[in-house]
Amino acid sequence: MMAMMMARRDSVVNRTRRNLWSRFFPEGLRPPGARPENEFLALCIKCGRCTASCPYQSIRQSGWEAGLGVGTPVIHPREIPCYLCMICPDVCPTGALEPVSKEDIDMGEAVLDTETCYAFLGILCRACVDACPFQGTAIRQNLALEPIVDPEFCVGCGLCVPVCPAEPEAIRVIRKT
Amino acid sequence: MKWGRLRRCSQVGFLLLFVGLPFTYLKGQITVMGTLASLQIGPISLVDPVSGLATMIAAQEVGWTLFSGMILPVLLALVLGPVFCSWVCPWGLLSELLDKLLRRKVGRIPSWLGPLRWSFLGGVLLLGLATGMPLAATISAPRLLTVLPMEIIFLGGATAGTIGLLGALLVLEVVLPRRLWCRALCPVGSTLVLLRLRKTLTIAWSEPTCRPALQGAVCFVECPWNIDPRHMKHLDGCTNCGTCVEGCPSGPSLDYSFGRTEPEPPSGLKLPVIMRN
Repeated sequence: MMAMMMARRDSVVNRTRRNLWSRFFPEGLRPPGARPENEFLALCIKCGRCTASCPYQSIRQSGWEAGLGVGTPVIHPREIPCYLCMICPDVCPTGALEPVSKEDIDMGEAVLDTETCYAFLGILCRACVDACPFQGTAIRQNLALEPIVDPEFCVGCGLCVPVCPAEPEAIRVIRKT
Repeated sequence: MKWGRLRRCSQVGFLLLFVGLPFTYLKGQITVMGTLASLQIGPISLVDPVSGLATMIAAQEVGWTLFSGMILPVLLALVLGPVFCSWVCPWGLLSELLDKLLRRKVGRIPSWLGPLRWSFLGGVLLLGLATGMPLAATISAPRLLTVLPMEIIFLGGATAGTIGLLGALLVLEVVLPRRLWCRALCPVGSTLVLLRLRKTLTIAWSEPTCRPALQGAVCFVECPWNIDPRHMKHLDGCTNCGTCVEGCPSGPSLDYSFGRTEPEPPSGLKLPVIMRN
């Protein structure tokens, strides 16, 4: 119990840090099939076709935090993650998004906060494991039933983020740059 | 021919199309989809030529998907001229509305307009090369105005980026001389003007029938682009809107024509033209 209290207090620092981080660098991911960031920025004409094609409205237009990249598409997994329907890579008119198979997507990488994750605090929870479309490879459980992310298989869709019961989410997706 | 009414219908029609499309996205319709930066109509992909060009410059590569999308819009401009500006672009509609609301006056086309147009287009493209981003696409007014309804209707809210850029353009529209954005600064329009060939659709003036003395130069006064169609130069920026053709009081003195016969300088080798008509 005492250990849990300590962990909670720690998480206040953690939470502040994370909130500050996301304030200045919102965890916007590029849609699936996006070219490396600098090439993506050069190719994207902000036409909004990927945004319009997304049946889940996962893809948003970035604001001024993106600097000159204002209007480029981003996915915020905390709001709506990517459901990997693979429609948007095909509609891009400039090749900023390229058709790609689900397994080869590399939007980002899920990172687990072992200080706030319920499973690591001894509470039985496998919400992220169940939500993962690559369950068993991208997120699997170890012998202590704690979730482990394998960066090699994680595509960064963020489906694990909104289901996390911890407040704020103990799992987040860091964009690949 | 009521070119003015026809053109207004076309402008409003395109505006309604781009306001209506986002509602269909909500139902999952994506066969016809996009904005004026890039539009998908079934299997046909259309890309705004300057956005495509800016992308090619910024990325320093030419992709087939992008190139193929630019073909039809470029062909349209090569044949019909920059009709996009006057018949399609919603910013043009807004700008003409402001003409009426603010009672903006006609002035002669300034001599610096052409140089300003080419240097601004070149500057934006070069800045795009330096920053590695297609800035010409970012500041495209038709893109912004057609992305806005999508953001509001489909995503449930406009973004600060789109509103900020549109606000800045609106300020420029009001502060700068009449329609300067459309006439000289908009990269979309400048590129389309540049695509004008000798045989591209244009407005031809036949001097013998012109009677400007009777009612003043109606064509020049009414031109939304401040161009005098009687003394138009090749790259003056005429968008074939047809206002002068419709407004011409002396009948067929001004009309659409593919290519224009330039008045030839008198030459001793040719027979003097006395018996015209």
